[in-house]
Amino acid sequence: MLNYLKSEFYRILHGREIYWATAVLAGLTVLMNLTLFAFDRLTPDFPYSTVAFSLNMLTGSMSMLLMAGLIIVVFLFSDEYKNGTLKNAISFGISRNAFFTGKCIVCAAAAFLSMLVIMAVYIGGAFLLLKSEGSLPLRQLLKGTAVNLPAAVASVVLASALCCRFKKEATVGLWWIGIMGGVPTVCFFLGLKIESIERISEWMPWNYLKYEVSVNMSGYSCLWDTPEGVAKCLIAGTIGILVFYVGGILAFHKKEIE
Amino acid sequence: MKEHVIEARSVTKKYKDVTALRDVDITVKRGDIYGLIGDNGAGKTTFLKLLTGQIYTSGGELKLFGAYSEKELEQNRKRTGAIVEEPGLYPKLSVEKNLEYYRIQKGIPGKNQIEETLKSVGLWDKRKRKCGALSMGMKQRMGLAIALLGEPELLILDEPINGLDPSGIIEMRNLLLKLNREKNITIIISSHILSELEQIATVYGFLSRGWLLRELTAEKLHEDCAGYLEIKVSDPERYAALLEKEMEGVQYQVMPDFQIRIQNPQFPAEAYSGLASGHGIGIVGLEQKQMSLEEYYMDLKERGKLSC
Repeated sequence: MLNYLKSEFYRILHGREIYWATAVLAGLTVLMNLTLFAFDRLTPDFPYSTVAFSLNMLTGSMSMLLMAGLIIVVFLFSDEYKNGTLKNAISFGISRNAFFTGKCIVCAAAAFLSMLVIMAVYIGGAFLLLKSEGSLPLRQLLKGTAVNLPAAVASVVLASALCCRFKKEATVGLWWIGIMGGVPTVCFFLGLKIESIERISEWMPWNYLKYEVSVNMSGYSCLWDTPEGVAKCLIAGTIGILVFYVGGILAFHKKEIE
Repeated sequence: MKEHVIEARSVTKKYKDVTALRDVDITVKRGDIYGLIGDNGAGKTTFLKLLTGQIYTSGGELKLFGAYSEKELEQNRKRTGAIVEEPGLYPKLSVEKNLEYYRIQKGIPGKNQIEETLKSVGLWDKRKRKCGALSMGMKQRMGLAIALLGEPELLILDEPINGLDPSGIIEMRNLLLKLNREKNITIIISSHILSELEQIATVYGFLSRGWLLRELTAEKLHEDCAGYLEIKVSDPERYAALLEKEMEGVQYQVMPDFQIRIQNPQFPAEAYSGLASGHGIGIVGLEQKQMSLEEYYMDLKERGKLSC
């Protein structure tokens, strides 16, 4: 297992995928800040060229963090079937469980490091190009990111499980959207009629990030403003990791590799 | 007695409605070069995939170095090297980095292994090239290099000479023979190119439509192919009766077109022609023949079709 982890880190560091994924995502944040900066120069009294507006984009749409997890995993891992490298690992006596666990750890670590770089570029770019009025937006963003890290890891674990199960990226993407976004949406609407489902649906990251986080120019009302909200985010994310990990193990355990 | 490296007992593999392997018994002993022969769909790759753990048996027992539990099989697979179907490579990494990746994964100490292995398969000069840019033949060599890392005790090779040029085929053959002779590496190899297998295999297994038609040593095969006499006579039934009466223990086979095939003839050809002419049976033709592996296989397949 340790050797497998080492080899995967070697591959990721010597490949270009992680650098490309990080560069593209960081580039998008730079582009956004540059656009706001340009509008500020071209339009008199443009109200949105502020650090708060830029950072609130992510604070108010934390589900983007979950999607970034999917993107990183697909970049790093989706070609294992196509390249025939998955069968190599199994042939060398690496168990399916060790393979899946290794992929989850490596992808989560790579995604975390990539996120650090993207956030640094994003925040740095915002402060460099846009007007700053206090540190609250930054604190809200950092706190929101921190408490939603377990949910982001759950997203990585789910994407890794799907990559182990399916050969095509499109299939992985569709299943990920279905499980991460579709199921909570269905549960939300069912929850309007059935109370027990409502209670479950409230604990799904997709739903609480959508309905319990409100960010606009006049202020913040974020789930993580209260200790209970922080606990909810952390617990829900941790349950997600466990559920997707066990699901991944069960789905991949007896999977035949053609 | 030599250790059994692979032991398959009544191994069956089913894919939904298709049975790819049916009650297959295969034994590979340490030091053997086991040639797996069969047409497309015969079950060769399926058997090798079972060995590498890519797929699971539907029935029967499969042992690797004497172990059969899933955990032990996984453990013992660390003692093997394999290429099944196309070699698995990361196309954007160089030859050297791909091999380094697998060296780390297998926990093999010493970076000098990379140089040694790449030199042994003739890829040292191409070490900086991206694997995605390699020709099919070079990819096959690369696959072999990965399989050879760490000096495995068992090599599982599925059509390893596919895509190799003539000199590549010779080099591959010599390398496999060298590994087998010098390091006593056991090899199980499937190939469509029977003449190639004939030059290296010490044991053969003939598969057809999932059945193992026959398993025999190279010595036994040579004995079976050692030669036969094909005699074309005007009355094959009467001639067959005469053979049984006059030449005790004779092995013969009545073929189409008035032909009779006498396996391992004990007497000179004249004795057989004399037997026919002496009893008024006309001789239309007489030929001394040696069976090639291809002919042996085709003959076995024909007979297998009748019995399966």
